[in-house]
Amino acid sequence: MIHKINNKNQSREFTNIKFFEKAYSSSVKEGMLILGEDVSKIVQDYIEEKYSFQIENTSQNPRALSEALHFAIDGGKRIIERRIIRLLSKKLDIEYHSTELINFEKQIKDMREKVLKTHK
Amino acid sequence: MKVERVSTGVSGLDTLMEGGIPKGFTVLIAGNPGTGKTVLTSHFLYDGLTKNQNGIYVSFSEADYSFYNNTSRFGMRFKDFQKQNKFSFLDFSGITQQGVQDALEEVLATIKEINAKRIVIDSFSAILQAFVNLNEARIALHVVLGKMLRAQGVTTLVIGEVPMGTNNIGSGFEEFVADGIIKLEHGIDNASPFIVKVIKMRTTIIDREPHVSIIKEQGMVVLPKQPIELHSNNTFTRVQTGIEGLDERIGGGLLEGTISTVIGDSGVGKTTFALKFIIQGIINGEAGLYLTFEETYEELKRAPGMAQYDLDNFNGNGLIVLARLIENHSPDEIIEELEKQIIKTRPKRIVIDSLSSFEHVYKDEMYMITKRVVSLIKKYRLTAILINQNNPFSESNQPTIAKVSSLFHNIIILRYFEFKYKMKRSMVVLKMRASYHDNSILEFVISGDGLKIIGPMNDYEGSLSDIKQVFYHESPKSEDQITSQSQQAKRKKILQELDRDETQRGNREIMERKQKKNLGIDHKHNVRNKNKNHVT
Repeated sequence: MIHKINNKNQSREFTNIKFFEKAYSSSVKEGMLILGEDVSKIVQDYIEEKYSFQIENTSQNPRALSEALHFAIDGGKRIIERRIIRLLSKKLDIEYHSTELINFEKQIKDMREKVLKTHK
Repeated sequence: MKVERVSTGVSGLDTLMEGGIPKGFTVLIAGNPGTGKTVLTSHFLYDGLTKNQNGIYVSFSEADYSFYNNTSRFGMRFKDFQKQNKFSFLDFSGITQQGVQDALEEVLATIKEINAKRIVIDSFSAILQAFVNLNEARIALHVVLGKMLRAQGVTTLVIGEVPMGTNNIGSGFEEFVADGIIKLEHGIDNASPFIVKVIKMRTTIIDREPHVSIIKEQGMVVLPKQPIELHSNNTFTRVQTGIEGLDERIGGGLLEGTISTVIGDSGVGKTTFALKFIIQGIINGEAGLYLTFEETYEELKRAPGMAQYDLDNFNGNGLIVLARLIENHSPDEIIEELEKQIIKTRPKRIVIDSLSSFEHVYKDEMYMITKRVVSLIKKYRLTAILINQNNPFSESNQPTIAKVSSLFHNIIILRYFEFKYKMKRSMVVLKMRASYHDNSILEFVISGDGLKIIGPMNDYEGSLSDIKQVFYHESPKSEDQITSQSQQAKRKKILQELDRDETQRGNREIMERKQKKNLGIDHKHNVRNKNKNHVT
């Protein structure tokens, strides 16, 4: 019985993670659109070379994306991060505060946690 | 109600708009590339930081390292304030138009985060690209800049890029959305120094006149214009010119505190005249300031007639020489420097050699430049000689001199004229306000002793005419009749005869003197007799 419940919980958690990662991946793609092809490629190449994974898969390591953005566009990364957070908040139906500064890594982790706990 | 104002941080700019920009205003800084927009806006932010008013620089065109490098050259340490979380540089240079709305959001969030009171947005043109139609842009900017920022007491400067070769301020609506407009332009021939104009500033009385701005080690400086004021001078004290034979013909010298212009062709003796005037002052214990745009101090030392004086003895002992290149300095800059020197050295006499140097670069502004110079000189009650040069290839005075001549108390004209296949020099005191002066046309020479007047040219006429050729009255034929080649030849022959007679007379006199000396006749007696004979 306990085993069954655990399996059910794991399955739900897995579904939630998948849901979050899909939403994240989509938000990153949309967010990156404003950079144009050339700059986007610089960001992707940076992540692939340094971390050996793709840009869409940075949901567990948002710092990698933040670092790559900084490498490519310096201070402009704040716009992309804000845009990704805004898009992701909308997809996940989480409140977004436009008048607050973005802490990308923390906010992504918080959203992930929230999704894991609340989405059933 | 008193309007609270925010300084631009640029020396000389605030005075053009009642002391600064009203707090909470959005002001457009429009200008061609390279006119100092970034420097001006950096001053604005840095001034705020030094007054505990935090600031943000939002850049869509320049990376942060470039901004920090450029501003550190002027001693602005933005990085120090950034570390203290008082300043934020938002580098949005890699962002395309879809990101601009997110950028504005980020700006508002940063304002809240660091409690910013001053913002610079570089540039308006970049923001405009985010909007499909201009009306949307107008509404968005009006709401964001005009209302949200003003409500928070944030004063904003928005940079507007004006393409080279155009004179438009913007796309046609930002000038209406903005509360104020400051325009920066390139100077003459797109060269430095720049021109600053305050075109609009709501609730403010503004000085609309174009002002010169220069970028120095300390950053941007807007030069004030010498105010044009009326100053009266009622003294009848005379100031010796030092020109031998001139002072007694003008009532003992120039009236103290008057401004004279000496007009003449190149090489006629204007500089020698002016140097003599300055040296005479120093000999009389009056310091003299000599501003030259055409010669160095070393060249002045070698000016004709200066051999007898060692200018080094005077230099620093009453003589102040300022040598400047007009191409490197604006008139306002020079006038400002001149005033500083006058305050510092307290001269009684001043020479500007030459006023017409301004004309080569600032032809259309000559009247106002001259008026400002004259106003400055009158303010300090200096006796001045302002040199004006004729174009040596022009048959008449340049029109500019004619336009400004009413600004001078005295006008002295020096000219060349041809006589017997040689060039001679003439001088005429054309005008001398409130003073007697000899109306004669005077012949003068420049020798090792300087400039010396020989006397009135009673036997000549036409030396002031454009033909610059003179004839003896005793000429056997009327000048009108001498037209044919044979007549010209006849005239030449007569002149040669006159010369020969003069030489023979001279030789005869020498012979007679020798003979009389040999006979032991008293020399004085001899001369008296000779004079008596001559009169007879």
